[in-house]
Amino acid sequence: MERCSLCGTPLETEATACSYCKHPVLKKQQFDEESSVTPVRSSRYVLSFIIVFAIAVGAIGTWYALTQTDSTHTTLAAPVQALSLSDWSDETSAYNQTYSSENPPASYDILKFVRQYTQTVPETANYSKATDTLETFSAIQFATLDAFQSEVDALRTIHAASDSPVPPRLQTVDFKRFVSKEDSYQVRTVETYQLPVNQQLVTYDVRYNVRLHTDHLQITHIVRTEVDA
Amino acid sequence: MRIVILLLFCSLLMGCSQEPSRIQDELDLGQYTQAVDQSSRQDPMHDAAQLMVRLETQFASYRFEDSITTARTIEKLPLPQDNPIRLRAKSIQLSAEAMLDRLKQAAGTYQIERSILDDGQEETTFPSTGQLHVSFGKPHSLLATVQYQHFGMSDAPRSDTETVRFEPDLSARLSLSEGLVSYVFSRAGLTLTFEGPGGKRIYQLKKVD
Repeated sequence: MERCSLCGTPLETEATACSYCKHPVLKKQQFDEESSVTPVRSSRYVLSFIIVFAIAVGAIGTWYALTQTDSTHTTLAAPVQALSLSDWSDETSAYNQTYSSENPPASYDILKFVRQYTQTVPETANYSKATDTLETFSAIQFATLDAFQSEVDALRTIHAASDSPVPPRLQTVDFKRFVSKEDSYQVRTVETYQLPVNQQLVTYDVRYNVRLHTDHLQITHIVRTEVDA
Repeated sequence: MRIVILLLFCSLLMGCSQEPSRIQDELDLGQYTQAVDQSSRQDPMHDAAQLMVRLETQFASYRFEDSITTARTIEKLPLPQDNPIRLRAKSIQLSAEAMLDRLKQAAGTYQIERSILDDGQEETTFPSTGQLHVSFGKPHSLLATVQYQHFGMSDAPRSDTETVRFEPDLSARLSLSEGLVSYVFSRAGLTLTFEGPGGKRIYQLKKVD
């Protein structure tokens, strides 16, 4: 709508002066001359409006399509938080954990399982066939009998140091390679144990085969080689 | 302009046709090694899953600085904001950063504030002396070097260095032939307990620097 150039009062279509301040409408003539051009301009406005509208619809549509495919997999877009300590530390025992096809082990569960197994290694090194009952060794919770037996044979260096007043202990577990082959997992670690004598260290390169045995994890095969640190 | 609209329409169609891939379920369940095993190198998720395996192995090895580096690499991947890989990598990064902060606070020199002998019947204080210096290692962030400086009972102080593997809750339990040594960091300081046949010797230490 046309407005008075002096006071801004809305003007009537045919008015020649402002109804409020009586200021003459000077540009009225010019406006009338231009009105013959408007049909062309307005069609341009309509066209550009259609284009903008199409872009907007396209953008919203694309955004909607993208969010749709993702939102089917994520439950809630909650703000990202640090993991709770019990989720990633060895606070809860990994060998009691059971799994099913609906609740399969996550890759971190396998790492946790192997890491907790390494804590039983100094004890396994102590095992003597003549005097000990196998069931009392916690490593048997993690591994098969064959794997346990191969560990007893491979841990001679730690075994030799085991009768010292301070037992050998785990120092570091470094996970090096971790792959899945169908339903079994292969984990390679470099493990360092501290021996009581002069805080001497012994390092092993270890290859584990882990698989899901009915509903729990089990180490089925261990190849342990002593290496130079 | 028509080309732009056409392109937009095509991208819209692409968005619709993007079917959830088979490995997507494994990624959602955190089975990153399986996702790597079952995807080809060309699969857009292959590299992301591979990086997640690397991140988790570093994190499980308690190599927090390396974990943060890998998590940052994952953050740069062209994944949507709410992608489960991106979210988990971020959670691990935050956990690793929080852990490094705690370790920074825990490292330092500690002085004995109170020393208590608990023989099972009663608790008595006893004279003690010395300081402890704790520093945490690299790349294994939880591996601490504990330096005893004329530390312990006044008549038999010890001066040596011990390497101690801490758990993420910042505690460590080391077994002795007839006992146990435990280190527990708390907000108040460090509690060191020697447990043996004769009872418990508890040192409550306070950080001095």
